[in-house]
Amino acid sequence: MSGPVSPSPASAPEGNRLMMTLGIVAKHAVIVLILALFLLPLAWLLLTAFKPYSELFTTPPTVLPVNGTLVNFSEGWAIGGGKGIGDSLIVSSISTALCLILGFPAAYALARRFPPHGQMSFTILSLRMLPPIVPVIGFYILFQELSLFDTYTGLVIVYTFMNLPLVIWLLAEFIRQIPKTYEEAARIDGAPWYRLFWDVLLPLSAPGILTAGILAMIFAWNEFLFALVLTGEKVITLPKALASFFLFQQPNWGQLGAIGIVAITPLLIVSYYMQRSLIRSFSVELGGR
Amino acid sequence: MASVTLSGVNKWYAGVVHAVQDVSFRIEDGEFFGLLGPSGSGKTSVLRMLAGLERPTSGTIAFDDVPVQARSPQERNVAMAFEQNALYPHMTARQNISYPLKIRGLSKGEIETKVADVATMLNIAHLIDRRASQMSGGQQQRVAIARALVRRPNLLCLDEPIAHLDTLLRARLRGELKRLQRSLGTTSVIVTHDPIEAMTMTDRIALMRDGVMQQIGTADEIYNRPVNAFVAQFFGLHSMNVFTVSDVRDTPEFSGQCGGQKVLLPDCVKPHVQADRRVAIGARPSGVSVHKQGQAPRGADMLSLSGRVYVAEQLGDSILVTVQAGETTVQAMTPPSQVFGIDEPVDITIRENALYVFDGDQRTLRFASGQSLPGADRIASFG
Repeated sequence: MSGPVSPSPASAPEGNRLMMTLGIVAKHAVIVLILALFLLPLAWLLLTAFKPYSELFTTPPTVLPVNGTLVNFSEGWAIGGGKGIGDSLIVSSISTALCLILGFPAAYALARRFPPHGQMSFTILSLRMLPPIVPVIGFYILFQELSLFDTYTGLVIVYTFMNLPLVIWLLAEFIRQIPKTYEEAARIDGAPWYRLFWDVLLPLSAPGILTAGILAMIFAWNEFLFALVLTGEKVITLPKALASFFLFQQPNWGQLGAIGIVAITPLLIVSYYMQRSLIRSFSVELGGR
Repeated sequence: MASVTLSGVNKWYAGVVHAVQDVSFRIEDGEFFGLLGPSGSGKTSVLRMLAGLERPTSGTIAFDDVPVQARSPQERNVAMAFEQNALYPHMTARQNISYPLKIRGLSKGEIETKVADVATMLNIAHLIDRRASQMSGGQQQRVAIARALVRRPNLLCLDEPIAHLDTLLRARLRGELKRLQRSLGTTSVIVTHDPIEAMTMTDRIALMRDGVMQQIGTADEIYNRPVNAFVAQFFGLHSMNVFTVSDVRDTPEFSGQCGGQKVLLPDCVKPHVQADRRVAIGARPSGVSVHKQGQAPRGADMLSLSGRVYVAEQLGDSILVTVQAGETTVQAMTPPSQVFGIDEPVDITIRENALYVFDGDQRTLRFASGQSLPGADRIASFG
């Protein structure tokens, strides 16, 4: 900057004020650009979902649907979208529940009995960093042998394996922030371990459990590679169902859009309402010690 | 309610830190007992072992002469109020107080009556449906104490329950706690690093340092007969002045050297000077007089020393004057009429009846307030 620094913006000369305005405009322009990058495909998906097939490739293209229709939803549901949503719900909710049930005791032990950021913590988290393509081959062979190929059980096991490290790590970090005094107070008050867990630990770690659960759910809901390799005709999760739409000679973009919208809507709603608790838990992670 | 006996209790952490070293004492039934010491002295470890949150590495803890060191807090029926995060944050005051009763399976009606009683006693009835975050620190501690008292424990453990409150509130709660303990007669132990808290509230005090018990006694005993220089300096509103005098000789006058400064000693010190011609002198600031240079009285019953005023601090009804005498500093409480400027040369005198004498290593008290202590005559006198 040239010239003397003004003591406060209020007494800034005209030139500086202009610079500041321009700065704000530029900042917002960048924000709009970044938002557009994420939101335009989403908007396009949404609009496509309501357009009849004939309207998809007209020249000049229409932005808003001219002859709005819901037929894409019903057709998309019928050709595999419905099964996909059902199977995804089954697999992701059961695996998420398992992750939380198995993860909480592990996280508690990690938080209370092991040093923070120690080897144990790192080893657990590093399992999550494994590229999925590495274990998938092993799982494929194993599942063939154990008759777990193309079963809900098999996919639930894999998703639990994949998400458990993250859940443990997140919960452990969260539990570390809960002062030990509460647990000691409960012990003094005479609570046996299960009451201590149920009356004190669980309510206090609820935001952490919620966050970890949502993340595990989202990962399982979106997962494609394991589902593609480890299932066949019987179990078809949503990402796999969507991909199968391409197997037809001409993919029907309208149906794809419709089922895509159905697939992401629950995630958007959950994320919107959980924003605050998500941010709180994440800032615990990052802002912590 | 119970009496509590600790014998030969040791606590090691991770096999490396000897936090509590061979501690033994007895708390009588209904007594209010203070565990006092600077941070890291092991006082909190002792309390946690009493409460059953930790087990002693060795030694026994007995309630009414029944060993309990292997029992859980519930089996011991102890209650505890913590320094911080005392209340369950997701519960109201009422839920907090009734929690130990709920665990014990009392009926709804019983719980309600007991909670109402204790809430009235601690004057928190109007806060009963608030959560911790909606109460002030003092109110939270009161609710925590209510939770501790609601089930009439054998032993009430207080872990610096008022240390985090502001000064005025602390002073008020000190009195309230003391009255409450007296009226209930519950055997209680309070951990504190504040000698004033220990002195004002408790019947007897155990003073610890680095895991080792220094002295157990009433406030009066510890204040007037501190066993060593550490206790003397730690205990009381103002630290006792303690300095070692070396090269003590009888001729031409009874005197010694202290930090490069000559000290004239009173005759009462004579029997306590060691063979290596050292002796340690102690005096509380209230027993030290400061005089303008050359105006100090002289006498065989008086210690005198000269120095310069380092700083004078107004305390309202008195002035705390710090005098630098060679490398030694001595604090004196003087009347507000006596005004000294910084760096003003002064003489200090300490009368025999305000004098404490320790051995040269400041480990043992030999003489206090005009009296030699039993056993003091056994020291080899220097001349």
